[in-house]
Amino acid sequence: MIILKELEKVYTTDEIETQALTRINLEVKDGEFLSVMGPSGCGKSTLLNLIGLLDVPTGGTVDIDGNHFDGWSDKALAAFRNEKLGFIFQSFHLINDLPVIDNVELPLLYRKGISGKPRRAMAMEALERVGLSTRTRHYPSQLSGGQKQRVAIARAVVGRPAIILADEPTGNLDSKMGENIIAILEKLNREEKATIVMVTHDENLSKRTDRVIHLFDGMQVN
Amino acid sequence: MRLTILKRLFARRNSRIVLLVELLLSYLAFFLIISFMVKQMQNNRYPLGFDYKNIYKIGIDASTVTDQATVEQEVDAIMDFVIEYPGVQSMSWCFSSFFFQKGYMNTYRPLRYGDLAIPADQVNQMVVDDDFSRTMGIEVTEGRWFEPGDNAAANRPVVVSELLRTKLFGTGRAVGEIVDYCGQQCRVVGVCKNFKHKGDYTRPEATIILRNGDPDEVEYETGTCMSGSSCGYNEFVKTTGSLPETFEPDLIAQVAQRFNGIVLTIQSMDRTHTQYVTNTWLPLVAIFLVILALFLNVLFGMFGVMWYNISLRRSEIGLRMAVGANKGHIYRQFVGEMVVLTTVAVIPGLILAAQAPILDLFEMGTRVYIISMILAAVVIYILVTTCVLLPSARATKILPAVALHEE
Repeated sequence: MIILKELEKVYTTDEIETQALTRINLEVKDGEFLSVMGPSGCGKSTLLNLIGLLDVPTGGTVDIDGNHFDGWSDKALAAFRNEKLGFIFQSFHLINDLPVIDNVELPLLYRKGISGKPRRAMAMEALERVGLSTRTRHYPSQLSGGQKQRVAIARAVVGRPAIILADEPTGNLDSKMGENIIAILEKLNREEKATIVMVTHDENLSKRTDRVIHLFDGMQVN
Repeated sequence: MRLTILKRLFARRNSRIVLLVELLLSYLAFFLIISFMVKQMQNNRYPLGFDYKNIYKIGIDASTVTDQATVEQEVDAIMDFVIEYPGVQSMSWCFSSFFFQKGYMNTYRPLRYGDLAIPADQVNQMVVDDDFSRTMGIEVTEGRWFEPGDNAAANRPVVVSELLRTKLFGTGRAVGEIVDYCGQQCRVVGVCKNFKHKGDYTRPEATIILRNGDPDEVEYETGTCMSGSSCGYNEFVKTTGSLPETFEPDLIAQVAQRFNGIVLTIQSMDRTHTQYVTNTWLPLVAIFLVILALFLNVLFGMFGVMWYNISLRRSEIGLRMAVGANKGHIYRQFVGEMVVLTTVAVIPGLILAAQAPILDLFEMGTRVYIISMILAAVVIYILVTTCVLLPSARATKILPAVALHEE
């Protein structure tokens, strides 16, 4: 379960102070598929960064499965992200110099206790789940947008994380490809009980999730 | 992880070729210069074998005196004067190559013992008087040094160094044996410790030391058949070490005053030794520094490339942190990439350097080359790793939340 209490984030530069999030209170149950919607600049990605422990809140707390993260070291946070969280980004963020199979394996390189062969087997299994087992030796530049995002999903789920954070996963795809992607996410949520928090602009997609929250100017409006 | 790094580097091999060639050439340059340095240090492990502290080389210039008989009388008188000078302990005469110089003296003919003949160019030789061992601190390990009673010897007495002793006699008896030198039947009266007359950074040579003799005073033959470079007549004076700094100019002035037309020159062996050490190491250190400076240029280039590279890979770094890499992983990845790249350059360097002992280039010995191959690699790795520390540290400071949302 994810619990956000009075969560705040302020970005400070030499000249400007920007309140990105203001007093966000949110609970996401295990196995829930949650959409986060709002106009550009309302703090959706910031919220996802804070849940994903990629950034540190200015105020409030983030609690994931009973873990409070105050005072955690960089090493401990990285290990937690590796075990419990999977990330899917709008721009895929695949490493172009590595073939598909190595891209999918990437999270497992940072997990202790998994050697080469089991790691490779897990990556293959993840690719099979997204229907790309025949593209293992291809490079990202040789794939379509939908295929790239499926590789990114395989990378996000290869370590069997409990929580998947998706930041506009269909933002760079056409409707048909987007439909494929959302279908994969629905399947992950339904069959593997993965908790999914998805940022999206697409109202049709959000209707297919369990719950929708709306942000406006850094505040939750529902 | 290492395989991933290799794949990454292989994918960008074209852009890395120049850097690889620079690293390879740098390795070979370091290997060569370090080989010379290691050779010097290896030779330095052998004891020098003679004294130079508080010892002076005396030169007598009598070129303005035309009467030869007068010159001989004057030279004898000067030597008597010098030996009586307060603080002078002993004096000795020597005809050979100078100490701390690269000169040599060999015979025209091989040195023979029974059926064994050692080629002329493998034996160094000196002609000295009875005080030479005492003055120069050359230690006798078997038998004795020359003494006045040798004037009556039927065979010319010789002392051989331990190296020559082993070559001639192996483990058998040496003292008392007869060797054929320049057609003369010489008797070995003693064996001395090896000494490196050319200096600390050379190897001891097989040396035969012949006793000087005035043909009017000795029973044995005194001829020599020698060829050499930088050889000549040397007088060495050993002092107590407590002499004031004015000793040299004072002695020169006194000789000039007492002996008309004769000029005395004094050269401190201590200063000669210092000069020798400087002359040996200065060129090597200078070349090493030049190579280092050139390599630093390579490193600056590498630094710049890495800095730029990391800027281009910000989103990748952010991604790795998102999927579980901590700062240590990121740091090791970038240092590891450069170390792997360096290894790809050093391996062919090692293969090329390995030809040196196989072909015995510069005749330095296999051990020197192996040590140098390792040291050159260590130098390269240390410098490369130092160079990439800062860019790698910069990579760890990238904020994943920012990097992942940059376009």
